[in-house]
Amino acid sequence: MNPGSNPRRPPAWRRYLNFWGADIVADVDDELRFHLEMRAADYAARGLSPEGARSLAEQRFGNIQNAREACAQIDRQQARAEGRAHMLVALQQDTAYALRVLRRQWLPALAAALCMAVGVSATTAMFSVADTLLLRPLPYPNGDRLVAVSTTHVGASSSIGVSSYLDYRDWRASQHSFDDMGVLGQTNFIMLHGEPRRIAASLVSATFFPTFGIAAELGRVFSDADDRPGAAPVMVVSDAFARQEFGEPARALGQSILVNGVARTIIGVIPDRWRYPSRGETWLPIETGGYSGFSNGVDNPSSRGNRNLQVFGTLRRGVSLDRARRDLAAVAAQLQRDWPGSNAQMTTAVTPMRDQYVGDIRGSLVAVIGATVLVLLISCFNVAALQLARASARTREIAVRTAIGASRGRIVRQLLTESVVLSVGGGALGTLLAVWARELIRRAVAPNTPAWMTFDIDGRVLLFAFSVSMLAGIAFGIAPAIRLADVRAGTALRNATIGSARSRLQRAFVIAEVAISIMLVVSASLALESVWRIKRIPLGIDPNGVVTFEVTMQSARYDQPAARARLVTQIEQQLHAMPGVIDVGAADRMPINGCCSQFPMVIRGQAVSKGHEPFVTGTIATPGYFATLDVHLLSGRTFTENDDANGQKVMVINQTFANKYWPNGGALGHQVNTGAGDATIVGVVEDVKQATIFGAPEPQFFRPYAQDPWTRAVFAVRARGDLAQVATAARHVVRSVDPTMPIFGVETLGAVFDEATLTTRSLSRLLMAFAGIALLLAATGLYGLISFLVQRRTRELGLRVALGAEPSRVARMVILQACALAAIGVVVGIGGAMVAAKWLAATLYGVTAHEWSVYAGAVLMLGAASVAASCGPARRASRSDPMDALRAE
Amino acid sequence: MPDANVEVLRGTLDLLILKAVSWGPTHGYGVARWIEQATDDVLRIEEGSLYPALHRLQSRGWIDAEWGISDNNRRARFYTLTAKGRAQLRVEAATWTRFAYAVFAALEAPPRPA
Repeated sequence: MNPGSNPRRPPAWRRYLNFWGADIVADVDDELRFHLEMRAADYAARGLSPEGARSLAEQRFGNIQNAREACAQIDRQQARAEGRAHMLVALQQDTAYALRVLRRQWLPALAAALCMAVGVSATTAMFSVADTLLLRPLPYPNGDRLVAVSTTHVGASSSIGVSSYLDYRDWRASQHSFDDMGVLGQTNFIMLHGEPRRIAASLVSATFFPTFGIAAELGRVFSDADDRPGAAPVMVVSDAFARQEFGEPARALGQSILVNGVARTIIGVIPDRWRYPSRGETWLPIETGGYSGFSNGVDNPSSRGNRNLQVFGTLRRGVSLDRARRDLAAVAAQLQRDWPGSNAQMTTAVTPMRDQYVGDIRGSLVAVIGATVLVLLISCFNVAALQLARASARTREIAVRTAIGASRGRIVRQLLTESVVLSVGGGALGTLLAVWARELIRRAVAPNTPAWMTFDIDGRVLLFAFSVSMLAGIAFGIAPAIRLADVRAGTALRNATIGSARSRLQRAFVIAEVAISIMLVVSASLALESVWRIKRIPLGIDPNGVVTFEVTMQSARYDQPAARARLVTQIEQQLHAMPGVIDVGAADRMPINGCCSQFPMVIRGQAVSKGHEPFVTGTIATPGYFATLDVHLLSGRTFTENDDANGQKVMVINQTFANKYWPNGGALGHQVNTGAGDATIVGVVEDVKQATIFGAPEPQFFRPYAQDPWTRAVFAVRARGDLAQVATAARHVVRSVDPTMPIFGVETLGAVFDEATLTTRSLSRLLMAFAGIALLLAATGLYGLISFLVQRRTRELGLRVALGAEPSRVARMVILQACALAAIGVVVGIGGAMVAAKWLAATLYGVTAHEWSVYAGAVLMLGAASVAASCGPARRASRSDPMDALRAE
Repeated sequence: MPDANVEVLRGTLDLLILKAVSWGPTHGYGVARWIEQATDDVLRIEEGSLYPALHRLQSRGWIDAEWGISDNNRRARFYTLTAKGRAQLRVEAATWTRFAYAVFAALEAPPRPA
């Protein structure tokens, strides 16, 4: 603007900005313009022409532009200073007022706060869990570059997780992507230092500790010289172990203790935070540690099939995961050609170490994050609907405040403050709930997390909870607040309803709630369906009522195979004599998660070139094994007491084995050599889920324990009554047979099965809880809306009844209205539900995104909820009395 | 500008504004008019600095400003003296009076003894 020109009149809309603080420049212009016009009017009154008067007034004023800028600057500075102070005061006032209002209407306020608490607790707990799982650094110095390398079937979606020592050696020698690689096998050994005790022992290569970056806090870790056949037996222990056994770590150094009958010198102590596995106690060099995979000699090619070691690598700096994957895949491809028997169809998987801890959680994480966001949304919609529902009660108050001069902006701000106070209050409550919800969510996402991964509610989590509640309060408070502030003073004071606009908004909220509910209900049903399908997976055994426990026969007493066979028979007999015991059996490992000894196999009469023998899973079992686990016999027989060391070598195979090699039947009587001489197939049994309950069955054979007594035996006892008592009694039995023999791994097969289904069950439980909450919220929202609509139509309904309409027809009308609303919500939500289902189906076992029964069930459930929610209002409507209606007006 | 008009010193302007406002709510033009009338048009203040002065006094909390309706039904910004402003007015008036007396006394004083 040129000095001397008239400040222009600002557009009218700019006044609205004054709700959020004055428009300083416009105000200054107004003030100056007023001055100039007054002065001009004075001059005009003295007889000057209008133009002359105006120009004289401007002349008299001097530099308008300067004055204008000077004023504006002063005002802006003041506004900034005042704004800060003012905002605090206003916030204080608004908050105090909001609290007063909320206290007066405490019931709806409490309902809204609880709603908010539910949403905030779910999201906060989720944030805490995801934060820890995805972001917390691993405790090892090389944690960021640490990867797990494992063997996997070509084309398989998940790795078998373990590898063989010979493969590891070849990978390590041929790779170009890692600073180093290390190998580790987890086992349990018996230690004699005082009482015989079973200890967690890890058999590791000398490269293992440097790969993790682990250094000893006392002494040293292994050198290459320690990890050679014939080297002096040494071991490394954890700080906790050293304290427990020797009082303090320094005293453990140089001590010698008996492990599996071998005196070992402790050469180093490592800090507890660097333990891997996280509950590890001792680490032994693999080549002197008595690793069972070396029973045929370290370099024997048949050892290549003994896949039960974990392999790790430290990525060379600057090498991407993808490059390492390609690098190792090339090495694996060479091994496939060199060792087709053990390595055909075998390649490698390289995964970041973090995944090793938390498992493959992407699927369940996405599902749970999605579900928690939906829960937050639905609780927000519900709070918004509740705010609207309070409209009737607030209409007069707001009209009065408007009438005595409160601006619309002031009222919106006040209402917004109320909704933020509500949501922050609810959020605080929700944060408390989150402590409990967190455990629920963690189990659904990653049931097996290491001990160092604690899930704390720290500052970040609190900040998150606060921000979420704050944002939710603002985002979902603004629409109701604006709607409420629009109350026209006149109409409201006459106590007319402000119905239609409000009910449109509330209708939208309720429809959104129904839409979200259907998504959650479909997801939960899908997860539940998956649990049911998992439970119906044919296991080939009956896991219920079976206790299992393990012993290892490693002392000199059991050097002779016959001694081992005798001991197992003896324990079996005594267990059988216990009250309540139905059957007893033993094997080298039990089904469900008993992975995996594989043996090269040659069928007599089927020519296979040396080194190309297929590897098949083998189990060594006693005669009682089949009856105890209820393995169904399809043809031939299972083992008897006569199938011992003196008897003819025999073998039982599973159905898949039989079908694969004898598709036309007639497997019985064939001779098969699995490394211990020819054995005759005497029976075919149903497939047993051996390594995992998921996945297709693989060929498996069973050989009599008495003909190949391993040092390890897992007993299975099927009994009636309390299985815990059976386990205690079994412990006594073993002690009476050999007092120095500890038993371990005591569990029920049912629990093992439950463990295998844990993730899916936890996920389904969580989703069901969420779906239940969503249904409840949607139903209350619907109830509130229908009640309101009925109330608004009191007169009409009353007249209808008075004019002879059947009360039941009126009730039906109301219920139909509720169902129609719900139907819109279902139509809106079903698309989202299908997307959710597609995501979930990728994670869940045995379900697709097109389980129509699930959708139908969800729709029915929503329908039932709508009917239930509208029953009360419908009954009220059918009892409408025209007199009441008229009086109410 | 006529010769009779004295350039009003800034401190004096503040004092005059406070005094003008002390009679009751007044808009800026009213302040200007009052000063003109009260001083018989001798102190013709520079209006370009009147408004920044008003805003400065307001930001110091000596006067309050509020939008209201003028006698001729126009929207105008009215200023009122605050309690703080009233105290300030007393102090400044006293100071100014002492100052004026001192200058006046000096002007009236006998010539310096030789």
